[in-house]
Amino acid sequence: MDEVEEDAFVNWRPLGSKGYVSCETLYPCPSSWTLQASDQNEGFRWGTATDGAKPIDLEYMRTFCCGHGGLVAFVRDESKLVLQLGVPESEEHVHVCTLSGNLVENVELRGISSTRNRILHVGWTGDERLVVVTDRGWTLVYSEVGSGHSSCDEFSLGTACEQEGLEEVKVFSTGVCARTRENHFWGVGDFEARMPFRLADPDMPGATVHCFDVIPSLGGELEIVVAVGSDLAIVDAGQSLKFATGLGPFVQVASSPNGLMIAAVNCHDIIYIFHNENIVVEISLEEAAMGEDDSSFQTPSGTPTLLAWCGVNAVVAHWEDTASTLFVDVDGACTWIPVGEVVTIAPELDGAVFLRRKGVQFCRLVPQDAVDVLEPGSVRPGALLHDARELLGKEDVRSASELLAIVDQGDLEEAVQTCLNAAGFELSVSRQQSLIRAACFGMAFAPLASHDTKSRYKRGTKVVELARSLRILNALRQPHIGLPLTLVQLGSLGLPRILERLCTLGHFLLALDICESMGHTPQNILLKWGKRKISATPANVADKNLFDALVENLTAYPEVPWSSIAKHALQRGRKYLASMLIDLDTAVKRQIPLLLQTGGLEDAVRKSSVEGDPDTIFQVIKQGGPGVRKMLLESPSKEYQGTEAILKEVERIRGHALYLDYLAQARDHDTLALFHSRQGPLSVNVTASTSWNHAKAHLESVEEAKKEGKLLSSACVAAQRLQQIQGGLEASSGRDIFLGHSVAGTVRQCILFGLTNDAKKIAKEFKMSDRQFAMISLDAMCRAKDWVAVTHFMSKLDRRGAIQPEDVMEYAVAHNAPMHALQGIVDAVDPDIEPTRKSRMAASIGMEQQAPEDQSTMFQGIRNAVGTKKLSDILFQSR
Amino acid sequence: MDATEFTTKRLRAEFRKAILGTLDSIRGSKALVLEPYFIQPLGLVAEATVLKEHGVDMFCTTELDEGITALYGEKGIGRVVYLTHAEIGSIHRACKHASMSFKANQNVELYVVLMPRHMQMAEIMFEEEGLKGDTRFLHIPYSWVPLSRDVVSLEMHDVLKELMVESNPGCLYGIAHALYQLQEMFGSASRVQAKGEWSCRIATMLGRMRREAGKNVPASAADGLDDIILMDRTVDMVTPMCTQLTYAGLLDELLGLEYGQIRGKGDSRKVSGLNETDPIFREIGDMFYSGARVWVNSTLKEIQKFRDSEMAGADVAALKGFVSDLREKFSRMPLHTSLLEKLGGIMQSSGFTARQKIEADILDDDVDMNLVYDRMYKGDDVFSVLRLMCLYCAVNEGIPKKEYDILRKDLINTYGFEHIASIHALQMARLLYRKEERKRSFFSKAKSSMGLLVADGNPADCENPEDVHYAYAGYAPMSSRMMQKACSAEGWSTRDDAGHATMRVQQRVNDYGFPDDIEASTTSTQGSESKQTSKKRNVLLVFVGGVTQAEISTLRFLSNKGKVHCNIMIATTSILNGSTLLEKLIK
Repeated sequence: MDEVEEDAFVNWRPLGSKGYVSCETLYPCPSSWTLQASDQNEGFRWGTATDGAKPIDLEYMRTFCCGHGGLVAFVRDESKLVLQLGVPESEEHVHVCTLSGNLVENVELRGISSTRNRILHVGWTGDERLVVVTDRGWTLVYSEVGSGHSSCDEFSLGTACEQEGLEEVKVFSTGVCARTRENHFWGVGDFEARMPFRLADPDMPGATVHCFDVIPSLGGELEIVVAVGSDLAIVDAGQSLKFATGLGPFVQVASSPNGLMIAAVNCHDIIYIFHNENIVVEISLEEAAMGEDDSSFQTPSGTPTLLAWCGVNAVVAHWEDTASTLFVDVDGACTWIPVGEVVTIAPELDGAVFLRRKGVQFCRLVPQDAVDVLEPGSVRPGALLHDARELLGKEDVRSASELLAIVDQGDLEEAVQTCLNAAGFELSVSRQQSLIRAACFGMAFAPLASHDTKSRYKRGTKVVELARSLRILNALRQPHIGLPLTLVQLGSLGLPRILERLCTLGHFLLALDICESMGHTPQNILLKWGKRKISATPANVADKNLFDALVENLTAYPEVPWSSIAKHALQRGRKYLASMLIDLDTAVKRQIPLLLQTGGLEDAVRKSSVEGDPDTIFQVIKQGGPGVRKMLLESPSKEYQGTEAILKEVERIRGHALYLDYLAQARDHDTLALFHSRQGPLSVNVTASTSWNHAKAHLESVEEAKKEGKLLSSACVAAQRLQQIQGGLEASSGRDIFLGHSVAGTVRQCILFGLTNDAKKIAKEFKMSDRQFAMISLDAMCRAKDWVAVTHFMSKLDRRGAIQPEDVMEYAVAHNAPMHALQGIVDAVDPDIEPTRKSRMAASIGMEQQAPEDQSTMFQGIRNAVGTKKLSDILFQSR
Repeated sequence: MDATEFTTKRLRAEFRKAILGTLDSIRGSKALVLEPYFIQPLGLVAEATVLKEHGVDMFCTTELDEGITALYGEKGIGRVVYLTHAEIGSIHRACKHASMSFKANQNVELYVVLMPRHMQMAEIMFEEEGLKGDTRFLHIPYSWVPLSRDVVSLEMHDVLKELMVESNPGCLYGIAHALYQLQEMFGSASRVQAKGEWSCRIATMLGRMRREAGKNVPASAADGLDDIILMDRTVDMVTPMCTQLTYAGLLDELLGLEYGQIRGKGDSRKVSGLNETDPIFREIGDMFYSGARVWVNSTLKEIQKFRDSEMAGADVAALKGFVSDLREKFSRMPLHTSLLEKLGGIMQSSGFTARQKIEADILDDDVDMNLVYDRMYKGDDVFSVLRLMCLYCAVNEGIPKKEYDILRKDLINTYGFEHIASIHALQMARLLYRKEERKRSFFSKAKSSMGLLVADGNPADCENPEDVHYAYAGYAPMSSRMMQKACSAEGWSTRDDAGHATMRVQQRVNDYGFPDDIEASTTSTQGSESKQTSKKRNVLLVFVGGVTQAEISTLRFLSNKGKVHCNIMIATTSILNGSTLLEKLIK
C-alpha cells in the first residue's frame, strides 16, 4: 500500500510553498484506476476503437472539446493540408471521439464542400450538441452526436454575417458568438429561438481586434471580452466597457468558467489575471522561469499557443515549440508542469484536461485535505488515521495506539472527514478504497469521541453516498466508456445528464445500473433503448421478431413507456410493430392517439369503450369521423356501449335531425319511442299527430319484442283521439277549456259544465273504471258545493257498487262541507243494515262521543302498528 | 373530531382554496357562470359573499338568456368564468353560453374551469364553436361537495337516468376518478367491495387507474381510508320508494329540504341552516318523527323546570350552563316546533296515512290493489303513485299482467298522455315491468334473512330505537342492512342470492411499489380481525345513484350504536327521495 501512496505523490508538483498541483494521466488508463485488468494498453491512439479505421493524426486536425469530460471533435486543419491530386473531393467530416480515444461517430457535414463554405469553428453546447459554424455564418447543430446517427438542424447567423464573412467564432453552452471580418459581433443566445442579434462595437474606431472570448453568465445575457487595440473591453448587446488600458496588445484572452475573472496574455509575454477589471496577477515569462530549479528546463520564447483556465482559481499556458506548460494560480504562485506537448486544453470546473497526441492528462490543484492525508511525512490527523488503518492491515499492534492517540487529541472527527474528502478527490480506485477504509475505521471508534448518534448516522449515510458516487465515476472513467469526471463535475452536471450521455453513446446497461443504484426511474433509458433498437434494426427484420426482441428485453421492467416506443416505431414506418407495442401500454389514454394513427379504429373504439372515459371516447369519435358511426351501426356489440352512448350524446348536441337519423339507423326503438312520446304532448295539430304516429310505431316494435301487450302503443292512438274529442268539445261549447287535459280531466270538465252525456261517452271510450267515473262526478259535485246532489248521490249508492259511503264522506270533508251536509250523508246509511258503519262515520265527523284523534294518538297508532305483522290494520283502526 | 369529520373538513377546505385561488388567478371583475343545480352546493363550499370578495361581481346560470349579456357592460365585467363539471352536457351548455356572451361582447375573456379534471373535449367543443383562441382552460382537482360531517356528494343528479334509461355508462368513469382522487388525498383503501353491475365496473376502473399510475399509486395512510364499499342504487330500489319517517327525511319528502334549506312555497317563508350548524337539527335530524317531537317536548320541559324551580338555588356554573344551553338550543326551538307541527299536519291528511298503509301492505306482501287505484282517482301527486307502483314492482319483482295493465291505463287516463313517455322511461329503467313467472322474489326471502321487518310481538320503540327499523316505522332499509354486512369482518360474499354482481378486491402494492391487487378472500380479512378490535376502521360507503336522508340516518345509527365497528363516511352521487329519483328519470 505504501507504493500506492508514492504513486499519488509522484504526480504532484509543489506550487510555491502553499500546496501542490497534480497532473495525472487519464488515458491511457493507469492500472491503479481499476482493480480489473485494463484492456487499454500503452498504445493509445485517437480514433482507434472502430475496426479498420485509420487512427486520427492530431497533427493535421483541429480539436474541440466538450466540457465535463465529454466528447472531442476533430476537424481537418486546412492550414496544414497538403493538396493531394487525383483524390475526389469528399464531404467534410467531423470525427467525434470520447476522451479515451474511442471514435463514436464520423459526422458527415453535407453540403460544406459543394457550397465552398469553410469550417471556421466547431463547438459544443451545454447539452452536448455539436455546433459547426462556417465562415459564411452557416450554422449546423447536431444532436444525439455519438449515437451513430445524429440529426442535423441548420440555420444562418444572418445576412450581415453572410456578406461580411466571419473571422472568429465561439460556441458557448446555449449559443454562439461570431466576429465578422468588419469586426462586428453577432450572437445567438438560444439555439431554440435562433434570433441573431448584433452586439455593441468595441468603442475604438480603427483599432485592431485581436481575439475575444464569451463570458459565461447565469442570467443568459450574452457578454464577451474583446482584445482590441492595446486594451480589453467587456461588450454586451448595449455597450462596451474598456479596461486594462495600454497593457496590450493582447494575443490571448480567456474567461474563467464561472465568469468572474479574465486571463489574458499580451505580446510582451506577460500573463494577466483580471477580477472586476482590476489586475490580480501579473507575471512575465522571465519571472515564471526563475522559479524553476530543474537544470534541463528550457525557457520558452514567444507568446503561448494555448491559454486556458484550470478550475476557477488558476490558468495554464502552453508553448508549442518548447512543449512547456505553465500553471499560474490567482495568487500569483506558478509552477511548470512536465506534461510535454499538448494539442488542446479543455477547461473544467476543478481543473483542466490536456489533450495530447498519445494520451490525455488531467491537471488540478490538490485540495488541502488530500495534501493532509497523502503528503509524505504528514502528521495531520487524517494522515495518522490512514496510517493506523494501514498498520491494522499489516496486523501491526501499533495501529490501536495510533488510533487512540487521535481520539485522545480529539481529532477523530476531523481525521474521518479529511480521509473522506481525500477519497473524493482520488482517481485511483485502490487509493479511494484505502482512504474510505481508513475513514470507516475511524468512524467505528466514533462513540469513544462523541455521543452524538445523529451526526454519526448522518456520516454513515454520507460514506455510502460517497462510495456510490465514486463507483459511478470509476465506471464512467473506464476506457470503453470514456467519460472521466470528478466528484465536483458530477455535482454540477447532474445524474440525469450523465444518463442521457450514456444512452446517446449506447451504454444502456451501465445507465440502467446507475439508475437502479440511485433509485431513479429507468423509464427514459428504456425508452431510448427501445427507440435505438428500432432504429438500428435493419428493415428486413420482421416486425414480429423485433417485437419479441423488445419485449424480451424490456418485460422485466414494469414502467416501460410502450406508447412512446410505439410512436417511434410508427415514425420509422413499422405500423404493425407499433400496433403490437401499443397493446402493451397500461393506459388507454396513451394508446388512443396512436391507435387512431395506425388505423386501428376498431381497437380504439373498443378500448376506449371498455376504459369508459368519456373524454377519450369523445376524441375517438371526433378523430374517427364517420368511420366510428359506420362501425357502430354495422357491427353493434355490447363492448361498444360506452362509445355508442357518447355518440348519441354528440348527435343530440348537434341537433334533433341527426340524432333521430342515427337512432333510426341503430334501430334504437326504445329511445326513439321515448323521444317521440315526449314530443307528442308538447306539440299541436299536425306535428302532434306525426309525433304520436312515430311514437306508436316505435312502441309497437318495443312491445312486440318484449311481448308486453299493446297498451302503450294503443295509448298513442288514444292520445290523438282525445285531442280530436277535446277539439270537438271546444268547438261545440265555444270554450277553450278542454285541450291539455287528461282523460279524467276532460271528463271532470264535462261534468262541471253540465255535459254529462259527453262525459259518459268519453269514460266509456277510454275504458275508465266505474269507480273513477263516480269519484270524478262526486268530486265535481263537491267542488260545485252542490250538497243536495251529494246527498242524493249518497242515497242512490249500491252496497256492492264502485263507490262506498266512506268515499263520499271523505270528499265532502275534503271540500269543507257544512255539518248539515255531512249529517245528511251519515243519515243516508241504513242503520239497520250497517250499524257499525253508520256509527263509525258519525264518529269521524264528531257527531258522537268519539272525537277525531289528535296527533299523539295517531302516532300511537303508527307506533303500535310497528311490530305487528299487519302494519296497516292498526293504522287504519285509528282513523 | 373524528376521522370522518376531519376528512370532510379537509375536503371542503381544499376545494374552497382551489376555487378561490383559481378566481384570484383571473384578475379583475368577473362573472361566474354555473350550472343551475350547482348554485346551492357551491354555497356549501364557498359562500357567495366570499366569492364576491374574490372579484365575482355577477352570478348567472348556463340557461341561455340574452338579457344577461347586456349586464356585462353595465357592471364593467371583462371576464366570464365558467365553473363546469367535466361532463359532456355541462361543457356543451357552457360552450353555448360562452358563444352567446362572446357574440354580445367581443371584448370579454372566457375562462373555463373544469372540475375535477381537464378534458380535451372542452377544447374541441370550444374550437368547433370558434372560441378556443379567446378561452383559457383551467381545472380544479376536486368535485366532492361535503354536505355534512360525514356525507360527501358528487352532485351528479342524472346518474340514474344516464345509466338506466340512456344506457350511458360515461358517468361511472367520473365517479371512479373522483374516488381515486379521494384516495390520493387520504391514502389508498386496503379493501374495495362492490355490489351491483355499475359498482363492479367502478371497482374495475379503480384497479385500472392504479395500474396506470404504476409507482405513483397513492400509498395507504395510517389514519386514512381502510375500506371502500360501493353499492348500486338499483340493488335496493325498495327503500327509496318508501316514505322516510325520520325528521330530516320527512322534511325532504314533504317540505323539500335541500342542502339545509327549505325553499318556501307560496306564502311560507324560506328556512335555512338545517344542517350541522343547528344544534337541534344535529340532535334530532336522524330521529324518527315522534322521537324528535318527544325530544323537543322534554327539552322544553327541562328548561321550564329549571327556570321554575332550580334557578333560584343554582350556583353560577349551573346558571352559565343554562344560559349557554338557552342560546344554543332555544333560539331555534320555535322554528323546529313549527316545522314539526307543519309535518304533523300533512301526516294527518288522509292521503298520507293511506299511502302509509299501502306501503306497509306492499312490504307485508298483502296489498289490495284497489287502494292503489284509489290514490290515482283521488288525485294524488303522480310521483307518489308511481312510487307505489315501483315499490310494488321492486318488492315482488314485477306486477301481474292484469294489475299492470290497469295501473298503466289508469295512470295515463288520470295524469295525461305525456305519461306514456314516463311509463316507457321507467320500463326502460326496469323499474316497472310485468311479472313473468310465479317465483318468490328476492325481497320476500331477504325480509326474513336480513331481518328487514320487525319481528312479531316485539314492537320497535321508535323513540328509543334498538335497531334501524325506526326510520321507516318498522322496515329496516335493505341497503343499510347490506352495508352493515359489508362493514363486518367477513364482508360481502361473492356469491349473491339476488344475482347482483359482487366484487372484493384487496388493494396492495408489491415490493417494488407497484400496485398488485388481488381478489380478497374471506379468510384473508378474518386474519386482520384481531386488528379490527383495537382500531375502528375508516369506511367509505359509496352509493352509486344516490342515497336518501333516512338511509344516512340509519347508517349513522349503526355506527353510533356500535353495530358496525367502523367510522362511517358516506359518499354519494346525490341525495334523493323516491319522488326526485323518478322525476329525474322521467324528465
